[in-house]
Amino acid sequence: MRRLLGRIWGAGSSTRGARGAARRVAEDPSAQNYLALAQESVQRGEPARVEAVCHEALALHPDHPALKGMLARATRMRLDERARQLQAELAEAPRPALWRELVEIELGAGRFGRAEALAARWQETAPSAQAQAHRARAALHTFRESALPADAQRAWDLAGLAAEESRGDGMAHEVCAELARMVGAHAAERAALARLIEAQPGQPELEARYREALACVGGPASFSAALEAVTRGGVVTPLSSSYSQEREVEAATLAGVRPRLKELLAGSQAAFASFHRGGTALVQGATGPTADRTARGVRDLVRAGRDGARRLGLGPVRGIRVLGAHGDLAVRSSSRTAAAAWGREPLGSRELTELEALVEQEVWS
Amino acid sequence: MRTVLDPLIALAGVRRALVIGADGLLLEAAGHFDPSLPPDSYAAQVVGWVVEASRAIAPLAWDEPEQLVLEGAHGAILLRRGPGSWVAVEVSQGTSLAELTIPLEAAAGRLERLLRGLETPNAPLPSRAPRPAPASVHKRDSI
Repeated sequence: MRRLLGRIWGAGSSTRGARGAARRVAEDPSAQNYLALAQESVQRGEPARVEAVCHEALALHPDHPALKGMLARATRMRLDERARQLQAELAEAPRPALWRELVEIELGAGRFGRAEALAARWQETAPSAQAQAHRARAALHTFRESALPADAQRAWDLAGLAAEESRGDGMAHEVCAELARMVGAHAAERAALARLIEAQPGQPELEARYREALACVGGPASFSAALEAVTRGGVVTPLSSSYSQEREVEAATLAGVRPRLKELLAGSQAAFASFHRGGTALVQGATGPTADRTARGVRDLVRAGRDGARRLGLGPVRGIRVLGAHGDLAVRSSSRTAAAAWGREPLGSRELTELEALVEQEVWS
Repeated sequence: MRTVLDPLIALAGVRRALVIGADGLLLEAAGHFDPSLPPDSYAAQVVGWVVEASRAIAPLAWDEPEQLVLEGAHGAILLRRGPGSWVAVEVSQGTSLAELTIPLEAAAGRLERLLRGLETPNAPLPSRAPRPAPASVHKRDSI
């Protein structure tokens, strides 16, 4: 009885807390008040409500790292719940749409190995070109993360099988085109794009990509030869990023990064901060040749870290820290971006959290 | 040399600990190693990365790093410079790296004292009772 009363009392206080938090947001729609309101919904186990609050808050406070982090966690919770439902439904009555959705969820969560295993199970239980193509796509994601030639070759072989099985399957040709572009197999890229245009006619973007591929002459004759040519020390160094990654880079603006770099340096131990995406670097706290040199140093350090982490079996690199007489250089890195800060004194948790927020992989947003 | 690694390998989350010469030669290792990357190769790879990282920051006219951390999705490696060598630990994902800084620094200090002959190699650790060496301690010629 006492436990029951406790629960009722707890639920009542939680409702009162949520009402209080909502009232505070109405009075002052600050990011902190929104966070408190979202936190109330987290305690009540309502991820959908957390997402709604975060979306509302981000419309007013775009790029707020804590709000974005909370939104990502809530979305992940919701999708994980959906994945559990799908697993249960698949056990009862498997059908392609359920498999597809489950594989997409795992890919979106960055669990590429799991996505590939699921696609393989799909292929085993109901063999189809669609299942094979999803398996190839999962293998492509694995390769992007691991940069291992074996993963690239596996993705290529799976995509080839799927394309053979169904010439109209756009996903398989897309995987082939991306892989070929990444390793510089221009002839294979042109062939894959031609089949993709055949399967999905009337898309100006695909035609532009084909024209671009036509301009690339020479190069290794086969995919395997091209893969071997770009493999150094057991790790593939892609010649270019994939189309989808480039599109994401183009879509995302760097304009919002500079104020955050300034904010990072304001009242902090850090004297220099930079943000890197592809060949672009934004630097705050240094100018002219010093900025160029430091940005190049950070980029080379990240590249060395990526190779080193893979060789040592640490997986994709997430952070690098170099301490010495020069001070403290901290780098946070994702597969596409990196952010660095340097200070004469050791950097604190505030700077590290800011760096983490800058490179946060927005796979869920 | 085991007295340097024993306190490190006993820490929660530490998968392996090594003392590596600055030239990449393994001096001592403790912990479990994957057969595909035995201690010798692992040590060479670690120092290879240190050299690459030092080369990357060399144009900035910075001194050689004293401490390095490489954090990946599946774990992290922390390195602390000792006299002509590196003390390295690999930790599993989720281990607090900040909590390892002091033990690593202490290990580097212990290594330095050991090499200067201020400490006998088999002296028991002050804070712990002596214990047998881990089964997987790989010993190399001492320096």
